[in-house]
Amino acid sequence: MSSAPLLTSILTIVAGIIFFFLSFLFEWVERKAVARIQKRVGPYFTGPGGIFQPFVDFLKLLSKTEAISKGTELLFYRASPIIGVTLLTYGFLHLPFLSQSPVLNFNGDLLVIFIVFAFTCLSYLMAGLSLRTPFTVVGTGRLIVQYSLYELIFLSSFALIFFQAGSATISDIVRYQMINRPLVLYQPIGFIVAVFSLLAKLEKPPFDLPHAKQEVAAGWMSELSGRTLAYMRLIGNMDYLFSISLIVTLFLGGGSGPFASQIIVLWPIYFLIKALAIALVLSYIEGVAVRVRSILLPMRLGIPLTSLLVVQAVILAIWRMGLW
Amino acid sequence: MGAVSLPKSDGTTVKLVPSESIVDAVKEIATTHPHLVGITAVHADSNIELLYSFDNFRGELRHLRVILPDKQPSIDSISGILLGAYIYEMEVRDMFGVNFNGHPLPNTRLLLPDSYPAGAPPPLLKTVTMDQLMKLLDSVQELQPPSPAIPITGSSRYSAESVVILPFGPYHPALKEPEHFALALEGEKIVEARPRIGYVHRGIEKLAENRTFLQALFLVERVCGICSFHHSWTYTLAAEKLLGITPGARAEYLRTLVAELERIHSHSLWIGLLGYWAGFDSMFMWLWSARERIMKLLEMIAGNRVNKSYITIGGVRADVSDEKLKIVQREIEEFKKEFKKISEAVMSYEPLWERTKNIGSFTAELAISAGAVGPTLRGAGIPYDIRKIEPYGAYPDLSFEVITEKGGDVLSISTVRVKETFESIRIIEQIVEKIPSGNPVPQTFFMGTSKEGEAFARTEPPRGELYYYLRGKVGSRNPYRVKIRTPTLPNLVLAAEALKGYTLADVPLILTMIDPCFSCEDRAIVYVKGMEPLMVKLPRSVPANLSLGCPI
Repeated sequence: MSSAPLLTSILTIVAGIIFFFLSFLFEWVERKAVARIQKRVGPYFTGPGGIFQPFVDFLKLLSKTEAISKGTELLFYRASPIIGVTLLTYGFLHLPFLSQSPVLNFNGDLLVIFIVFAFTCLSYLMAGLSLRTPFTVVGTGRLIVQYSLYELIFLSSFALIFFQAGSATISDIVRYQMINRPLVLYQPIGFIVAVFSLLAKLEKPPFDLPHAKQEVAAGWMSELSGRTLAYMRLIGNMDYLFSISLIVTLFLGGGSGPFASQIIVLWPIYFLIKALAIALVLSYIEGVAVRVRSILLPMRLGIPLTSLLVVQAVILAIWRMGLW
Repeated sequence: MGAVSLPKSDGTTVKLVPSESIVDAVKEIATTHPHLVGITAVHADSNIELLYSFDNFRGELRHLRVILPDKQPSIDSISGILLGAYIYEMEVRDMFGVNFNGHPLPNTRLLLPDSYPAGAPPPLLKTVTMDQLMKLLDSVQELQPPSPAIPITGSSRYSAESVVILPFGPYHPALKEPEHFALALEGEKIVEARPRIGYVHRGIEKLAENRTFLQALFLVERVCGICSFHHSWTYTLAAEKLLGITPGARAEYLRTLVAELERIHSHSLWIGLLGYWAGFDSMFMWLWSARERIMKLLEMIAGNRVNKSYITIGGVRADVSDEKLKIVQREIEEFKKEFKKISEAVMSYEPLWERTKNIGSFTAELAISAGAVGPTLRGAGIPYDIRKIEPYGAYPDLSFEVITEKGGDVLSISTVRVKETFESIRIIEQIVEKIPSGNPVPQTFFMGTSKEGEAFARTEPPRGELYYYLRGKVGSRNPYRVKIRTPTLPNLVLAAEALKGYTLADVPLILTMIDPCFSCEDRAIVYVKGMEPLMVKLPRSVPANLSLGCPI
């Protein structure tokens, strides 16, 4: 989409601010949903239904004294939140949240997603390894293993999308879904696999090994405090929203829906509703999940999801060949 | 029956053994009586008397008594014969300064703080008064660096490159209470684990010697925050035997009622925590919300949720009306329904099985050698339950099953606990039906003096066999010696053994399958330099003419 640079700048700022505040909303949704499953009330004090609690938590952490241990690699420690927040916001601008066309786009921008994934993980690694204590070392080690597993799965499921839509540009994939149908109807298995591997990416149960508190205290987050902790938590929230939005874009047709092409305002509303639905599904899995044993991680995450993707690929190939 | 006065050392059940031949005597006795209940040390008449108690899992106890001089006491270690003995020996070494030759951990402390001076007299000797102990701890200028639990260099079996010593605790989110495990890790695999406890020493055994029999009852209740009633009950059983007092039938039933409610709340607490340790927080929340019903019942009966202070020597402190018993009956039915629903859902949940089945496996032989008790031992298939083999309270009149499971892993122990909860519900239903009438509250609370003699008592708290030893001196208002052997101490030996070969991810589950209660084990003196203003003045011996202001 070729728009004036000024418009792009304004849209960038608007989308960035929306991304920042929406990520707190999604944390609230997740906390409320998990609390309901666990017979608790969840946050309820700040704002209606405690809706502002995650944001207030963030502000409070910002104001806390930061304890930096001796021997911390300050470069890593300071750079990690910057990398994480910047890259995730940049990545979000490539998703069609506000309208059918993303704020930023170019040919083949699906590959930006991989850079964002890699750099988010890198920012965690840098935060974790800036001080090497037993807990951070074990936690970061687990993070690397987990990353190498879900990265492969994501890559493969995107390849299948590319295979069907015939384009690695996000806006083209959305347009393909609007002309035909959302990809979830063509690739249901791929959709399920992507949602499941999201749990691994976001370090949610049952794949919350990198910071499994009963095993490795806070894992790679053990040495963080104050504003760095606030920003690393923000990165976690942004990662959550970004990944869900990605699934909505690639599998659920973004904000498309009845009358969305006539009434422009409906696009972000539909998008949000779909994203909230996925957040609820994730929260439900979180609520009933038991953490996998670390040595069984490849068995529970890598092998079953990869083989499911192979099945999906075979089905897709047969279907396409029959069509051609 | 639960409490037995020890007969004189005539060679039948209590055998006097010379200190040189202790190893041979233990070897002989362990063939028929393999369960070491505990090693009790008493300092009396310039001697240190060691009492080794053995059980054959049928309640036929045999004891070995060794008398050592209190100057440089030394005896051979029996940990080569019975594995669990090493932790009892460490306790005696810390508290009485007895040197055990051939002990596997010759220089490591178990209970005493590292700041305790090396040459200072051990705290539980009768020659050490409270004032001396305070002065001694005051004189400590700096903390000694703790000796490493697993030496990395020197004669170590591991090369320093391949093994990481991971400190697990004293402050760790998986542990409810402070204790420390040094875990030698090769990658994520554990090759060795050594416990270090004693972070919450309170000196209860020493304090109890400075209080009257009745005051000590409220003190020992504070040994544990979960099985508090069982501690006071076991102490009461021993004291009643020593002092020759019998409680009424209704009192026995009411004691049993509170004890079984305590078992239900402890077991559902643990099963909930099993979910927490496995990374299944919802299970934790569900079970703890169900448990709240039991806590409210306890509050209704005893007026308090945790430290119930319900029992007294000779009875209980308040009767429970029929209306309240009806409420107990109604609420326990509701709890049963709720617990059944939750436990059936979670115990058949495959991901939870994966975390618990064949995790922390141990054999029955290892469990016996470590001296394991309670659900831990029953999870390996040995029906050892003090309620059955040495019935006390109202248990002789009540019918219940001793639950055992084959296997010996986290899952089998969890199953034992779930089934035992249902048995406890059955017991409570029977109590409400059968409870006799009468006055369970004694006319006056015991304020008298002791007789000469010794007695011990055992009960079955939720965690397993609890052992109290009491000695009285004629004409004294205070017990001469109170010895407490909590169930976690031997179970901890087993857990440390079971850890070997498993991964770090399994540590929380294996460590806690024994339902550890570390604070229960810690009964020594704690003292932290710089905390002087917070130190509570320890009470001196209670004067004989002291009247207790309140009617308790």
